[in-house]
Amino acid sequence: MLPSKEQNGENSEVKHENSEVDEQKNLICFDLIIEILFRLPVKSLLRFRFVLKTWLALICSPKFIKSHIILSSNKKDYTNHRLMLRTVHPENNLKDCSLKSLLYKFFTEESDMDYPMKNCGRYSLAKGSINGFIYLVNMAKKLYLWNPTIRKYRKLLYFKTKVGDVVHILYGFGYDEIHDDYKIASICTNICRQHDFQEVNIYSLKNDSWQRTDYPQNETRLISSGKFVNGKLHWATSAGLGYERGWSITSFDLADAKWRKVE
Amino acid sequence: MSSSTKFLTLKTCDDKKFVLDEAIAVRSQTIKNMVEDDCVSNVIPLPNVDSKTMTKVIEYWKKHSEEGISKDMLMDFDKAFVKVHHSILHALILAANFLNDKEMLDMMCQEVVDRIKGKTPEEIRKEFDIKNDFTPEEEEEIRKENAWAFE
Repeated sequence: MLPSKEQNGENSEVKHENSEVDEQKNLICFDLIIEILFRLPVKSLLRFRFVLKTWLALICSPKFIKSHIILSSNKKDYTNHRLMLRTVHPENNLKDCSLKSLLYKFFTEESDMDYPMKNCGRYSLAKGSINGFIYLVNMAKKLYLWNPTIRKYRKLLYFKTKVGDVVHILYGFGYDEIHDDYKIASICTNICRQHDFQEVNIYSLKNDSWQRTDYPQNETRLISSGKFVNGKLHWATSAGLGYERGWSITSFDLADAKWRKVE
Repeated sequence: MSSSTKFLTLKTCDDKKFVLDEAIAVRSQTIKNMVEDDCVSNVIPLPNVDSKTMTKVIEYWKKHSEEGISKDMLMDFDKAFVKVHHSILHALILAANFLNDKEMLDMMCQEVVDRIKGKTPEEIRKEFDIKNDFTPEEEEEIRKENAWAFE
């Protein structure tokens, strides 16, 4: 039963009882407040952090953040999904629009995205995105993990490579659920010696470091950028040359760091 | 109505009784569990729900159990149903939670979200009857961190 305000009496004993009842009322409500907060957009949540200290602790907790991502990305009408595009003329800029309006309305309004290194003179490419996180690389070899929803980013260290200076790099970006970690794979090929080995480096956001890993080549080469599906990054691979060339798909499991051929 | 229709009697916290078709009442998972576990004697007590709120809940349940009602008609009904004072809305959320009616709880929570998402922290405290426990310095620090969210 909800305690009503009329219960406030003059008697101090009654007051004492009421404070307990009030506490109980807040306790009951807190479970439901969580239900409501789960459904709020991020911008409102950032504001509501200082409604109360318990709200701040809740909204900033990893468990809440994770559940919020799951709930908002599973919305069937795509209210929270955005589509990102890159324009070439007149400027090389990243723009975005609402996926919902793109699917269900005649006109869709695009908006300019405000991102790190936007005005550095070199254009940037999004090399992957997951859970609202975007992996950006610019032509000056600067790497960023960017969360546009909360407008925060982290500049990443560049990895060291033995391949040489004239490198072609393929990337893959994904989430390792088992270790709760975001990971990037970079595949380096020396353009002058394309049939040489390909070097693979894996970045872990948790450790904020790159680590070289073995790629069992078996005469196949990774091509195109990595696509993240079910905890694994996938690359098209090719073997042989010309008419003899054979195509397949190879995956890299972000959790156990194993390469597998997709049958 | 067929002769096999079973009725349940629900008793709210203010001692009002509601007689309801069992097929409708089991929209509440809480009541459904009681019926399935054979815990139902004569009257089902609902200690967390008052009669005013229960009247609204039953109105919702009945409309959503009507045969042949169209989706559009239900949408119009829902739209009008949630247009209530925030104290009633909060009571309905508590009731939907206690009765464990997920569909209703979702709808009521979404209504609160639509009402509060554009508000300031001060307005939220007023809405939920919450006393601020931050010092002005702490508040300023958080506000600075994401000034754009307050624009």
